[in-house]
Amino acid sequence: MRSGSSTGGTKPEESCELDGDVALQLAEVDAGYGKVEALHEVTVSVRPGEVVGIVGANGAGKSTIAKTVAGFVRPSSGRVISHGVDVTELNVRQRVRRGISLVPEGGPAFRGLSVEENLLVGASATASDRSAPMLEQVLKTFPVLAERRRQDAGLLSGGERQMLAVGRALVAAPRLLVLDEPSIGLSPLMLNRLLVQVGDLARNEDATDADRMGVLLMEQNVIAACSVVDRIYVLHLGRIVHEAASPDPDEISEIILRSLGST
Amino acid sequence: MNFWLTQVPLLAMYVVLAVSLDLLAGVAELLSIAQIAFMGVGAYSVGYLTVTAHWPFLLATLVGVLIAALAGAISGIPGLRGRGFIYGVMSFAVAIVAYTAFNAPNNITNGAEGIAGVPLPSVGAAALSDTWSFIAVYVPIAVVIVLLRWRLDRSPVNLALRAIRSDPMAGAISGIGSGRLLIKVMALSAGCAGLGGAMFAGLIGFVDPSSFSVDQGFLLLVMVIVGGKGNLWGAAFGAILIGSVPSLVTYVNLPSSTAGSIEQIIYALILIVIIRVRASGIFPERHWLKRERRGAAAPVGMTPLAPAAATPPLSAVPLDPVTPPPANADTVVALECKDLKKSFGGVKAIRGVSIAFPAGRITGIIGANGAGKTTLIDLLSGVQRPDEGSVEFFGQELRRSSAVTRRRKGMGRTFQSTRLFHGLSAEENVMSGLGSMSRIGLFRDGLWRGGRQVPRLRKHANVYLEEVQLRARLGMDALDLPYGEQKLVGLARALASDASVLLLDEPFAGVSADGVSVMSNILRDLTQKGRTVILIDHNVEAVVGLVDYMVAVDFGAVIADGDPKDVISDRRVMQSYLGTA
Repeated sequence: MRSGSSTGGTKPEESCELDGDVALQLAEVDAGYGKVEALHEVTVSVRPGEVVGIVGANGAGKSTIAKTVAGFVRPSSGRVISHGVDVTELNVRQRVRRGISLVPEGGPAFRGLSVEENLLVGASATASDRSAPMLEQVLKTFPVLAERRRQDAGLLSGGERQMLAVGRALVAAPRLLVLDEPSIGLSPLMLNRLLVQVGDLARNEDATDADRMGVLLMEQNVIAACSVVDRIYVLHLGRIVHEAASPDPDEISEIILRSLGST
Repeated sequence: MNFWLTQVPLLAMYVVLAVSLDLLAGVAELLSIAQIAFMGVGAYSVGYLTVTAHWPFLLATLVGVLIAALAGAISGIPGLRGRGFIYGVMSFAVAIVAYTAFNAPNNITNGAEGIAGVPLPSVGAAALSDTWSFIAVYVPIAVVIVLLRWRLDRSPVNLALRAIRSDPMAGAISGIGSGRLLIKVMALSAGCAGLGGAMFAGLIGFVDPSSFSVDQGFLLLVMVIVGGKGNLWGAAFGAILIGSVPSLVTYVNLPSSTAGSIEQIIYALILIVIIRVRASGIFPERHWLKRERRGAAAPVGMTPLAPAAATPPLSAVPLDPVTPPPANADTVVALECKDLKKSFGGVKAIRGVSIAFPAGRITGIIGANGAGKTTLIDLLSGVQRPDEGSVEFFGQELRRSSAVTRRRKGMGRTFQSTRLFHGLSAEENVMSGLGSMSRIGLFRDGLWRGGRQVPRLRKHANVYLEEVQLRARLGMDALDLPYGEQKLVGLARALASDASVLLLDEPFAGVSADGVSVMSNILRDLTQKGRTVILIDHNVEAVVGLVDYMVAVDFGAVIADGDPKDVISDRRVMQSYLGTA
């Protein structure tokens, strides 16, 4: 049961309840830091091959959802389910092995390691045989990473580090990719290229349905998010207040502003 | 005579040593093992001057304290370059060198034999002769040191030290130069260690190298860590707890052959248990707001913030209008760079950039990732030095001035990745950006004025927090805030500098639409007051709507400049940046 006002949009599908082909299911998750509760009964699902966005103002709880999915924050109630397995009690490393990769906010890089070494660290996390072709793909999407392959990652600009962080997550060949604010630091051209690439990888024609990567995108930039997602959730003060398929950016922005005004 | 009473003077000495070490190792986070060396310098000075030179005890103590302070300042300077780890290793070296020097056969320290027969501490004819008289003098000394440290902890110096330990570069940008302040702190801390040494010499009457070995140095550090690094009461408590261990071992009358190893085992056990159970010590360090309200500081959490529509109370901001731009403001240039060049290991980041930034206007810089935008801001703000070219601030050449100097001249900036001071609350972050923090002095503002300036600083900081509509978050650790709010705190910290020229590196990145409109209003209002704003951002819509003048860069060079609408419809800009052509 969801509390908060659902201002329209489609109802969450009943079909995606706990079955094996759901890349991610957050079921009525409450989570927070110490005594401060940041998420209230959040229910979110991502199917394989689907790109799902979560938008909302600063402090809405987007990063907390990302951290809850990756395992940095444990829910105080509710379950986190991925590909039919309850991962609520698993730690970050175990979740990475199950194919859950997070690109944290701000695109952190391992300084002192070269760009290539950074990417290899990502690949080594799962040792998937899909890592090698994925590495090719990453270097093609972000030519600047190929150019700077041997350079210290600490010398990259902020935007380039963001590309590297996404690349590092991708070479692990994840089954669920969680992106926390990838737009930070990226030029419009690069952001567009990144989102198109992520969308293409998710909708990979060659893979079987269940094999496709699911993507959960936390984003401030509503226009960018709407351009790529299949479905979107609007988060306000830790609650999902709206859900829509093939969202219209103007309508979503309007909903965010309205929910801010109502508090 | 009660056994434990006889231990009180010794414990008072440990309190002096630990509380002063904690100022350096805890508050300033310069981990030092060398405190024991400066204690030795004090003890040997008193020993030599009283026994060989027949000086009066008090004068010998005074000179010993000064020598220790001097030694502390000079020996600490090389380690400052590296901070953290390097500083620790350097202090280790200092402790070893000092021990070797004490131990070497010479006429001053008397080598391994040491100096025996140090007279009882005396002033004129009055000498300390029994335990009660030692207690009557040593305990007040410890109390005075504790009070001085308490005063310092409530002063803006404490804030400045915590800020620069967290991020020296962001500290410099807030105008808090770290060098001189830290050298003074090292001198003060070592001077107190020297005092502890004099107390030791007077109490024991015998000075020999074994009392100042490296493991004794570690013991002082253990007191600080167990008690709670950065917390005055923690250090004092740790000193008493750890300092009591040898007394305890003596008390239970263990054979001397095993006593030493039992002591070591007890120290180790205490340390292990504390680090497992309470890593930040028995009394952890707290920021000011938490200190005041004793945990009652309500977890403001994610209470909703005021909607963006509320007009920011800009009139309340204590800004002195800087020279308002004349009617034909376009002719006045606030900041100008000429033919700037900068390479990093063969990669040319900036290749000949010349831009004149008009005063009282907002200039936007856009460009592809890796185009050199942040490097440009680094060169303008003095965080990095150009290989070639010049920067002029209102016609004044800046090439040689540091980031701190530029900040004092009136340049403020924010960082792409916020670089807020961790461990500081949102309020403290903004306070450290205030103009008066850049003129902070250890003795005048710390020991003399104590906390008297703080309410005023806090009031000013709150005005800026109010302006970015984050007043509700003031007591929260800045790094616990959502990213977008951290950006707003970063802006408030830069605004607090009261700078005439503000350089903002991606202020809108990760900030939601409501936050962007709050920021835009603030920036527009600043230019009304004659301030100049220069910003980099990828939020093209917000930038175009806000700025008066736009510069596009690519591959370290300017490719277009002028009216924002013209710049974003430039063919090269569209191709290299927007991806629309």
